[in-house]
Amino acid sequence: MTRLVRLYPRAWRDRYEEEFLALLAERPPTLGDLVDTVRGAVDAHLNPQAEAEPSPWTHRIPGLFALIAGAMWSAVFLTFVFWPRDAWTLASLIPLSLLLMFLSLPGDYMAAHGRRIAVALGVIGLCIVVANLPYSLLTVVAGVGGYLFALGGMLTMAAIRARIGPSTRWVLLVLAVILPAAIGFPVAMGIGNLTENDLWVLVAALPYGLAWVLVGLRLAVRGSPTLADLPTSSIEPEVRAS
Amino acid sequence: MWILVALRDGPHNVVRLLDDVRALDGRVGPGTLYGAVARLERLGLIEPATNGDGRQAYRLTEQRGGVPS
Repeated sequence: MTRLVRLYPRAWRDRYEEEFLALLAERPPTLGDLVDTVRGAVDAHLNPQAEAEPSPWTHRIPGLFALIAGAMWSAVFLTFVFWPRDAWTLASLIPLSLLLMFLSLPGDYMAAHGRRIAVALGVIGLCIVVANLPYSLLTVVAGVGGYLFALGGMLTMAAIRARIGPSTRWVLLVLAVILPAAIGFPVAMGIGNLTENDLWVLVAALPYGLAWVLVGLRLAVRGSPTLADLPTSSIEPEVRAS
Repeated sequence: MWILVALRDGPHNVVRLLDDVRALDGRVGPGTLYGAVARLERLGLIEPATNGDGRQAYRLTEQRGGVPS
């Protein structure tokens, strides 16, 4: 069904795709509905019903933050492997890139899911506390879990903001966070005796930076309102469900 | 046209809107529904509304006689 919706013009999809797919999820389409959807796509091309509105420049800021953060992250680890003498000079860019990643997130998703995000931050805080207890299996689990949860959560939120679909988000999460962690953590802990070759660092860390570059590019091109741009309707009293 | 009739008694989420329009006009597909929704929104006759169940809803604009919120 998603493929059929791609037949619609970009401006139409930007405006209606999400709710249109939600409707089809609740009212599974018959063969006639599929034909009607294709007919609607042709109609939308012939008689444009939604115009792409030019985004104000502020809508590009989150994408630029994400893009710069991903580029900085990638540059640090590339330097670490190929120009190790300069690596420590650039290492301070990692916290800066994490800060930029975080700053690229506040927007409509964060406004709508504040409670969920507060719980997630609490879980991450708990993981940090537990990971700093005297060494045990629990501290390792908390450390790895907190790492996956924090980095994966930030990337997922940015991807949602860039309007990347759920299946692509999962692919991104697996390729950029879960698989690299599955390779990186055992090596970092001395399993496999691969630490003599620094290339494992690239496998473990570079995908995350590249993923942010991709998400940032998409976010910058498509634009996304910041918290300051959000319409007041998002905090209007809820209309009673009909 | 049937969308305006269906929304006369208040905001509806799109699932209910589709059901109501189908009840009024027979077999209307989602493509036809959204073609009409887009046109009416562009004409300023309907507008998106927030909805407690998380589903997208629409209501008549004040210009069309909707209830201001």
